[in-house]
Amino acid sequence: MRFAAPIVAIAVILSACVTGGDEPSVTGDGSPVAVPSGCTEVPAHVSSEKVTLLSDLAERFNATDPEIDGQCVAITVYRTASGRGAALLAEGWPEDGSAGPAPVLWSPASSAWGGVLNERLAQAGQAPITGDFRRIMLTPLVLAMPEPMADALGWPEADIGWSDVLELAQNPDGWGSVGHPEWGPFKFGKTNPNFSTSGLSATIAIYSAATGSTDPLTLADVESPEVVDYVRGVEAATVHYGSTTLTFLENMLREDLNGRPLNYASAVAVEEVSVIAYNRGDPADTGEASTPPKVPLVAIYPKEGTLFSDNPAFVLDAPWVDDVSAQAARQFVDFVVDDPEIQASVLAFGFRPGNPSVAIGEPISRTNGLDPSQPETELQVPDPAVLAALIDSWEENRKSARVIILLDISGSMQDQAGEGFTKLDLAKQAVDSSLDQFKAGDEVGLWVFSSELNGFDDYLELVPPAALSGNAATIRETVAGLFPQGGTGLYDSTAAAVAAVRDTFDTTRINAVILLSDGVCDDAPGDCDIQPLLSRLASNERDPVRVFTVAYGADADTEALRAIAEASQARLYEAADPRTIDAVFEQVVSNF
Amino acid sequence: MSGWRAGLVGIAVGGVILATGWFLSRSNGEPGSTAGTASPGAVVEVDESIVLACAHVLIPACDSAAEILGVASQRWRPGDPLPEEGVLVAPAAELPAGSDSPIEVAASPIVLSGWRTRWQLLERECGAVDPGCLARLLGSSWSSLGGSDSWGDVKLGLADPTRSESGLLAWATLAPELGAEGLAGALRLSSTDDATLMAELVQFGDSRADVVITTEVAVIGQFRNAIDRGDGRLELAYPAAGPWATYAAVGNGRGADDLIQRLLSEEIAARWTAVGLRPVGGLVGQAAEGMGEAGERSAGPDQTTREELTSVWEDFT
Repeated sequence: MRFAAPIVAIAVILSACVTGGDEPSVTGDGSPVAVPSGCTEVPAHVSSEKVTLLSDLAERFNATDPEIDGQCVAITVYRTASGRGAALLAEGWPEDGSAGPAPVLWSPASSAWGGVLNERLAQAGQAPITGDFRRIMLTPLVLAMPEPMADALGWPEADIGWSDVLELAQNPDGWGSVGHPEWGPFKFGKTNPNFSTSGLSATIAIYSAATGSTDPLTLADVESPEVVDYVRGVEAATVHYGSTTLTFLENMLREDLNGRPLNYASAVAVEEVSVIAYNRGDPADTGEASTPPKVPLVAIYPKEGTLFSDNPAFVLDAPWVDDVSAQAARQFVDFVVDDPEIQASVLAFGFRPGNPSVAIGEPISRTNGLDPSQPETELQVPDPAVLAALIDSWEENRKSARVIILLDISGSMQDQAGEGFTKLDLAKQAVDSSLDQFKAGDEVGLWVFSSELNGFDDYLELVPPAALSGNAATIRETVAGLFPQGGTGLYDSTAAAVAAVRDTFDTTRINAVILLSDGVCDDAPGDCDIQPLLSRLASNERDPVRVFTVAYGADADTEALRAIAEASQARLYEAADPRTIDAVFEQVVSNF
Repeated sequence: MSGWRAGLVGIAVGGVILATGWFLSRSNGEPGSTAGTASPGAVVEVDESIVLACAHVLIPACDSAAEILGVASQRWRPGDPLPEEGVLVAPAAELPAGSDSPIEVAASPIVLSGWRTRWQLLERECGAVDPGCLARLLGSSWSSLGGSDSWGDVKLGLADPTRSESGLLAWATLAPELGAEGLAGALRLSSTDDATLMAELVQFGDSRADVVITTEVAVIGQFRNAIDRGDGRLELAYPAAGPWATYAAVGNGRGADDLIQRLLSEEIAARWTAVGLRPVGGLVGQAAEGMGEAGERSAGPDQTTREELTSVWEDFT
């Protein structure tokens, strides 16, 4: 049936894109799993936003000395991103322990992932392993907006939605159209739906809004020229995409604390719980003491409807799950959902309780910029075929990119990275495979840097940015022919690449540099002062060129690369183990 | 909702608050509590070896009864066996095959329920909210009925009739008016059973479904919880005629017959009426008092009709 339909199509996309997620399975708090001697371990794999909560609850549950048919049992909690969990379960859980023990209990962010998994299994001729479930907690997708900007749109009285986003995005006066020219154009933050549950939900919501109906999307809807125009209009305001909303929230908070709260993004599509964490000054929800933002975010529940992340607890009906483990998992879920005190603690984490007997209260309140009586309409995940078409359509109609890949080819890149490959070998493979993630209309170029590659210049343009449809083969050939040499002229090369992108800045595209480096700047002393570069990047408000940096290998200058990324309101990615570069590069390219 | 009705619903909700508060003060659904309080000052020792197992929607009623009876209370799911020692109470049609001489102990009419603000617009449009009204208005935009654009269309919730007796009875109530085609675009919530349906209705506030058809006891079980969700109130209406869900008890092992007889006592009946269940003997659930008269109780669908109904449903879904 429609509302329970599995997301077939996205399974294909996710199998390619999410298996290498940046959230390896680890114990909830990073400490070794403690299972009392003689007890049966019952592994629970949960999405990252609730790993702290469920680790704590597992500890409390285990303290009751639970037994099933006289057998002592203990719940252990592992962090596994939703898409990655679905992919691993569909492909066969790794037996080498790299992803932790196979789950008995699986709790992704959204029950839609259960459908994804079952559909993938069906395609492989296997029986479904997710069925009935209980919800641990819920959180709706919202448009989080700095309060003054929401006020300017009539919040909280006015019904606000995607149509308002579209209007602002398309208005050449931007915020000037509502009396605030000083805020510039409307800038939107939204994650990549191939990687992120909130990105997927936001994409479905935007397409639904474009139809003017809350009925489930159809193929005709997705292909409608009017719908496509609407989607293009909203996506055109996107600052960049990415695999996690945390990037947006951290960049917003940094800008806020630097006294520029309205500079980076006007609105971001995130879960309601993220608004609470942001307003505490702790967008990663670490629980550590933090400085709250000067300008809080408020949640706008789009008037056209939205979707929930409903945090299901699936006790898997899988061959490796025995009766004792399944019963123990069910007992743990009952413990988590039925106990009002525990469900009240869910609230403290910013989620809406899964147990309806527990009232929605603080911190989900109007004083925190939220509205517990919202949303008024829930949208549905569309049929599998429609979802496939929707993702394809989004790929085609998302904001295009103009990117220079700036690759470090210094001598240290010839270091061995394992299995007979050098670091450069693995980086070349990562660049090659990442090209498939771009769309044909994206403009991509290739630069390299080491030392004095071109006269006194440490950098060299090998392939100028052009539509990938025409130059992908050239980039691949060129990359294949690279070899390590020289030093690390990091900063002047970065500055030159940014200047090149800025000189030909295209307002209709995401303008960016992907910088991969494995070392520390070893240029002439004057050229290894990072401050001029950071100043230039930070003053880049009118024509923002984002520098997404990759710290590659154990000797990379992570702090410098982080500073470069943050100054340009982008993000640092770390691949300390060179063997992870392929997966990390996928994450980087998810920004486009 | 008219003033008298609102007042009576308030009284009903108050009753449920008391009952629910009492229920929540217990052991939070953990099977087999060690001791219970039958009445102030009278502690009844619990014999853990004797079990009162109940279907999902009856859990509050059975926890309450088990406390008086001094037995352990357990949730029973379709497909589970009878308790080794004790009694199972479940929808008559869901009892395990071969259950000997089930005895009807309670019933619950199939009712319509929905969120107050939206319900009032349906009433304005139809006079009374009944299956015919839903058949006419399901799928219509709320804005065309005087509501807000942001409410979307009129959306329905129903327990899955292929998995739940109450779902089948609800579908039997609605299907003659609506037909399968009427479900298209309107059915937004379908759950494994009536208690889950109502829990989900409340979990999602008024965003997922506007109206549901289900058992009276399931609706009353969520009255209090709804206060904190959606627009804060659930309304309820009885179809003029229709089937009721019936709950039967079957025993197994020592003392089962005695336990069943005690389930039919006035003391248990009083507890059950407080949580919206109608014990045999014609007592109206206290929680349901004042919400109008239940419609005429008709026989449930025969086997042929059941098969037709599930077939239509499966074709749709």
